[in-house]
Amino acid sequence: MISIQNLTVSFNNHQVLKNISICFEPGLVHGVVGLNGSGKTTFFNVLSKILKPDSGELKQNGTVLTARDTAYLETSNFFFSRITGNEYLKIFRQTNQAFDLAALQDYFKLPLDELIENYSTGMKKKLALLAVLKQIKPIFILDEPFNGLDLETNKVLEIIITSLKLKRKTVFVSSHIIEPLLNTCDAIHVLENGSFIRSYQKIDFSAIDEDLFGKLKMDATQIISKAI
Amino acid sequence: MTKSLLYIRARQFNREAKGLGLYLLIIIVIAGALSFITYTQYKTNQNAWYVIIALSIICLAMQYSRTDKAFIYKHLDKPHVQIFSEYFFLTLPFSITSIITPNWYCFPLLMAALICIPFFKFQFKNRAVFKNLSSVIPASNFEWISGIRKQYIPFISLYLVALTFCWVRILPLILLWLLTSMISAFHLENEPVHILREGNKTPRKFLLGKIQINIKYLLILYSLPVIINAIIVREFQVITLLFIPVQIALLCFAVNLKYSTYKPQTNQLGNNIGFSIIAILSAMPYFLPIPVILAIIYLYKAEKNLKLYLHD
Repeated sequence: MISIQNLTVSFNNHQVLKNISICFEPGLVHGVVGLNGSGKTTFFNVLSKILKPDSGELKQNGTVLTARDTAYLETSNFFFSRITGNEYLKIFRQTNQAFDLAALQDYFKLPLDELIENYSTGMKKKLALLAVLKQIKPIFILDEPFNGLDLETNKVLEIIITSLKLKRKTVFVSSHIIEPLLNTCDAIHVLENGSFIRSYQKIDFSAIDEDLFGKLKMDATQIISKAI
Repeated sequence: MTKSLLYIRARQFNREAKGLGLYLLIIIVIAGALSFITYTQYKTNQNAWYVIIALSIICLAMQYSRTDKAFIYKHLDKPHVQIFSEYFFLTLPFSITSIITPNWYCFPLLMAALICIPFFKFQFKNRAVFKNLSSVIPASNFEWISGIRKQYIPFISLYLVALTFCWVRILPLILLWLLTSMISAFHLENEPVHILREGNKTPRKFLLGKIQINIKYLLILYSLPVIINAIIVREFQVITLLFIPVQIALLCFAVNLKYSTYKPQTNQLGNNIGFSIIAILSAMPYFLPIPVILAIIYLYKAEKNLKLYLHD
């Protein structure tokens, strides 16, 4: 069990995460959704120990969660200039013995001998994902992994997430598009103004669309159709 | 609308200036001195046109390497005028003084060159030179791979000239000193945290590892020209023997300075100014110990800063 108790994070006296207490079942895929600025990336930064919280406790199976426990795919990836895709991957030790670059390359088709700065946004995302998959960790955090990917790679990513789950990894995924989360997640947690306000189990997913967007759809349909 | 690019640059300059602090004063003094030097050249040197050629080449190099060309030409009104205005204001302090000297024609000549430059819209894709570099330098030393690829022409030229003239007194040392400055600039980009954490090292172990690898590469590069120089030029043997420890201290300072100000995924171009000042001081006999002292002080600062990112 991944348990979070009284987690608070502030920037310049503004509370971004507000006294969060929540438990995540291990070995499942957890979706995290919320509007821009709701605190998703901050939450992931704390979970991956990039950010120190003001207060709170993060535990995995009763022991304190460490940076070594998490592999993190950030929403925007930064690459050192003038290094090739191959060199970037070589920076990371291969702790996941099952990792087969050649097999994954059949689907990712990355020009690994080229400089990364010549890659498209989607290619950079795929490269960062490969580096994450080289590592063997109990927790995988994927912040907006579907952004910038083509249709086929989106499907491949869904398969990767499902495969991680089959290997009993706990996966956290955020997305601004709900559909891929509905396909891959076992639970979806809604973050609003720095607090988790609701969690949906797979059985309740049919209610998400209505709960999150029902009012918006009703109000906006009329106004927007007149406005454009 | 045609002022929008200048407006953006003014905002960027203001923002950068606020972060520079005392270094801003140093930059202003250096710019003022350069402006005065160019003025005296216009005033006293009959062949001062070389200043105009140098300024034109600098602007052309900027035009070649700038990455905002596609945006400017597509979205801004009168892009050629806007880009010209940018180069005009940039070169003004070093060109306007010519109009009150016998070399007055230099100013209109420069303007003519600057008007042409915005029409050069070429944008070359960066190509990976030395594709097998990571078989010589492990990918974990990505700063060196990246730095050598970025600066390979001046890097190799400086080194080969130093090696060729290693029998001449002082010259190879000056060239290698310039090379140290170039190598220190490899450490201006900050890697993301997950790369920093690769290997699960403590801040102290991480820093000592980085220092060790930099010293190793520096010794591999410098040993041959410096030893030959020490053997041949005997009257400067003391200076030659002191040279390598000072260069090591300078490079250690550059590494420690980087990690003392480390913030994930940022560039720390401001550090280059601090390093340049220390590098200049290291060339003066009385200030020789300064790089050593600063390397030690900044080792502790870097260790403290890295604790924020390598904590558990």
